[in-house]
Amino acid sequence: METLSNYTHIDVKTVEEAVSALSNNGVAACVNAGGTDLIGTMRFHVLPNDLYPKVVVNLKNITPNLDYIKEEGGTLKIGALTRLEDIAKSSVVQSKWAALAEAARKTASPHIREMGTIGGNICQLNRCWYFRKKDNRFDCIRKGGNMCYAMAGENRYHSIFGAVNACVAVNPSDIAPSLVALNATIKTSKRDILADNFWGYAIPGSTVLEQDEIVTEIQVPAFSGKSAFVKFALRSSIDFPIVNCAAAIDGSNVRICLNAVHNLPYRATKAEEVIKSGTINEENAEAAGEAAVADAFILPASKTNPGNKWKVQVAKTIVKQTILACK
Amino acid sequence: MTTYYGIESGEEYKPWLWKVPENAKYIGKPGILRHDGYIKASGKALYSADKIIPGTLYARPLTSPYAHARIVSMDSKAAEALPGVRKVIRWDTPGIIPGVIKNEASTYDLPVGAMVIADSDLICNEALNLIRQNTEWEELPFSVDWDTVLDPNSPLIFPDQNPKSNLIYERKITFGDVEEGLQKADNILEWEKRDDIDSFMNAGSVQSLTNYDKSNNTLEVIGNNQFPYQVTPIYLMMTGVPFYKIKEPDVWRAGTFGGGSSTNLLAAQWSALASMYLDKPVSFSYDGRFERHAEDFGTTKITVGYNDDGTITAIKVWNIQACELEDHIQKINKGLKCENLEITYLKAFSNIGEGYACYKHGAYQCGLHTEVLAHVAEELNMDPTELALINDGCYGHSMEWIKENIKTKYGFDASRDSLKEVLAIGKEAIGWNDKWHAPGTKILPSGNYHGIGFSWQIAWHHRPDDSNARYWDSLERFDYGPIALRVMGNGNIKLTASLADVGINRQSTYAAIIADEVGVNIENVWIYPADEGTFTVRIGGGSRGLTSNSTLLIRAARKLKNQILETALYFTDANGKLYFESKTKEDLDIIDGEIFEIANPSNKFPLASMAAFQFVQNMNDKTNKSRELVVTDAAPIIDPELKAYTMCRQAYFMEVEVNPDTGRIIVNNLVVVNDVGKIISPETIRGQQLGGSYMGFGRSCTEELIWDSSTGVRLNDDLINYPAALIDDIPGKIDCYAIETGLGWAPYGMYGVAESAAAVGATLTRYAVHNAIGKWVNLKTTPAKILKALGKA
Repeated sequence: METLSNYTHIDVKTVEEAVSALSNNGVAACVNAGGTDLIGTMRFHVLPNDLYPKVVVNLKNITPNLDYIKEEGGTLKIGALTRLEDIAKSSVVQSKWAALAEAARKTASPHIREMGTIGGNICQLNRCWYFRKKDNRFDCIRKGGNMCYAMAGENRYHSIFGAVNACVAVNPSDIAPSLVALNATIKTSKRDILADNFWGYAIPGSTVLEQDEIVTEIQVPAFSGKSAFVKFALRSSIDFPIVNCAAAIDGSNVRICLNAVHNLPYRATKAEEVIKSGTINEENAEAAGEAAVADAFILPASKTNPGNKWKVQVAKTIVKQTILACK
Repeated sequence: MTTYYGIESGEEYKPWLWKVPENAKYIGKPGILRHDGYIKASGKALYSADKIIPGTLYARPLTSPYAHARIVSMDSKAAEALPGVRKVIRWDTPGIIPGVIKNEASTYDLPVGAMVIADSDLICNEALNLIRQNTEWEELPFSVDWDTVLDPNSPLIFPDQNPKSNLIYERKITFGDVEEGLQKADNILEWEKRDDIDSFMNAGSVQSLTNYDKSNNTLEVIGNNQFPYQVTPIYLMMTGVPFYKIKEPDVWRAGTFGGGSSTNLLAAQWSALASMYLDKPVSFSYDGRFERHAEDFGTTKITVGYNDDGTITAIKVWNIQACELEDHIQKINKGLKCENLEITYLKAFSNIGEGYACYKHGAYQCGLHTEVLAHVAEELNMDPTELALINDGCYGHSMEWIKENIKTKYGFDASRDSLKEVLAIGKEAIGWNDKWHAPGTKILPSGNYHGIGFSWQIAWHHRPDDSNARYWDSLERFDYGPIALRVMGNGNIKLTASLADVGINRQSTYAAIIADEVGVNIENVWIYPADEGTFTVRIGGGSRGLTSNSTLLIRAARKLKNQILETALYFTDANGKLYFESKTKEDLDIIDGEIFEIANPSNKFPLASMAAFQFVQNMNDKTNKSRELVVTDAAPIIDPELKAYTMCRQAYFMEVEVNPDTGRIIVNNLVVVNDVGKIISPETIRGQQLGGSYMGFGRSCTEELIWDSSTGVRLNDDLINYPAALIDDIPGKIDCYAIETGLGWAPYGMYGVAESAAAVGATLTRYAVHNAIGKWVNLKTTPAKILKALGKA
């Protein structure tokens, strides 16, 4: 069996202790919530030795615990350690923030949803088989190397909106686009960050979180419109998305976000404009889909590599389907 | 007249004529308790990776980060100095068995150069990390594209083996005269396809535990192989330890199909090497998978001659890189009446790993005739099921000829026509007559294309004594046993059989046959691991487990029953009075474990009583004359001149929707119809059908091995990036049917089910998608390819 390398496991009881543990151990430390992404990353030695976690800070024993779903003053508040299965099954979330409930329901498989947390889901590392190859096989740019292997290599599942810092890996979170669409705020141990601004490029991370900063709560403002989430993956049973999309439409307030199509969740503002200026119907949804991929950037294909052009077609369709689901 | 323990005279070597006992309680009945159910469901079943020998060390290999490379230098001192490391064995370590560890790798992730032996897996990995940092490689020419390796300008991959090209061999197999067949055809059709490769996965890890005892020169070996005894010669050749000193404790083996798998053999060799070097038990494990599916891919050019009425007159096939294409043409030869066949196959060097047959294998073999008929049907605008019936046959003969010359001659029910029957059931179940349409002509209200496809085949065909699928014409008896059945002191019947866990529910089917043949309850048939006896039913399961072993099982069971009844004639009550005075064994029978007089059923006693008495008597017997109820037997030799015409057929139907905007395939209905000849366990067949259905589906459209062409590194050798389908990926219903025509050559007319559904399912999606969108999409039928075929990507 592939095994974890030696590391120090720290159980913390409070958010402050967690922050302190991270602060004290610098880049060698990371946090563990459900562990469904982290443990695999460690087992397969995805990262170079200098980035391999030497200290893992366990958040699961924090009190007051960060596992809750509540509605306060119309705002949905979800603790960072709330499991995805609980969000998917929450009648409160289902009734008022349907896109989020559906995104949670479509994430991975039942077993992983019972382990994986919302905080972990939005902080997971990006997906790219070069970046994630075991034993740090490819010293890619996202690990501090010099090149992106996917750019001219096997890129069928990669970004259709170009690179960020020359990296075309995609953010695979199903939760992320729903939070962007629902205009959520991510509360951390240091600050409140709008979902629009939460994700960013880092080596090797996927968020703007600082090294000693952890997510504590997700807040989703009251929403009286209709929201929806649609996911396209190779398998319906369990898979990361090829493309997913969340939309929240309340009159002229329209927010549409794609994911797995770019380094960061991709706000489809051109599609939003189409819907803002018209009603939700087949024709407008089609036009919005076209608009959503207007800025697509096709990566090269080859005899054995279909390239990622097909993802543009899928993204266009998924945007349309998501909008129509908000009708 | 009975000549062989219940087998009629003239039927000794015709097991297909043997009948199920009249009072059978288990054969063919549903709801039979699964023999291995509790031990597995409770987690008590001991698998190879669970086996622990005190003092075991752990070993892991260095693996190649390159598709083809040679180690130039390696500094392993830091690894050797790591606490807990017992030894680093390298290719250049003095005194090791030569040739096991090489310093050149021909595939990414291939074990190469060194192996760390340490107190734990964790330490091994830490040490290997240090070795990686201190190893210098020389990269060598490679190719992961089988289409281009034979181009004149392609670099030579192994010039030491072929200095002129990358060709390994070119072979041609011919039946009849294909050129003449093409000439006399009304029409000729040619096409080419390139099918991508899929992988295979084991439920268990690649693992081998070897315990070498230097003082006694003995080996104890536990590997994850389907046929552990096939690995024994490897140990013998490697170590010089004689056969009789090599012990193989039998444990459950987690779904490893393929006893000769290179990965498994490598694990066996490396663990033996380490154990001998250190004189300690060593558990070798390896997470990689340098093999890939062997048979079912490649680039294929097909030329077909056909008449206007749909009769195929000639089939000519050219293929590169598939493995064992001989099987392909053999399957066509056994499933069509077309007598003019020719296949040319080229095998070339590449660096995509060794090919090996495994569960789900055989799709190409099974699919080639469907491929031919589907294309011809499209050209003629004919229903492909009708075309199948027109061309059904075997060895160049029509089914009409087979009816007269085989079925009648050898005692089969000549009124049965398997393909007609499975097609009728399948078509009715899926509503074929209402739903089939010309390709690309039906769009549903949702905007999705509607498609319906069908495939059929002859597999899985196994002769009662067939040991090697490649030589189906041959009736040579291979070493299957021998078998031994013994009545234990408690009255239970003991069978010794390998635990290899391939296929499902093998133990229950063995137990059902023995129980019904002897006349005891199924819970009184106990199956013991193979290492507990010399007389072992060695085929653990897999493609030919039941059909092959049932000849042995039935003969031995009938022999045992005969012995029990003969002994019963001398059994007395407590007063010394014979139970069956003046009777013969023909006057007696056994039901529910009770031996009774047929004319007077109340005159009876339990087999267990007699067994216990025999046991005690043996203990006190000063003459050393054993009275144990034990029989041994071996498989009979069947008529070597008999040609194995295949007469059972399997049909598969799939109804799909294809979203033209995403390329997504939605399976609304899958219908699986197997003519198994004779059903032993309905649940087992259904399990194989259901399991095979989703595995085959995944293999047709989600599973695809992907290499980075610039480095030769396989990118998706894990279960996240290699999306094997699950049962939930078929959202529609799966209807499973099994029929019994008795047209199999195995006992009771059995034919088997095996991996049929998995193999055929792997091609079926192609035909359903073609019917939907009107375009041919090569395997794997991914959304990307479908969108491209539709001009949308």
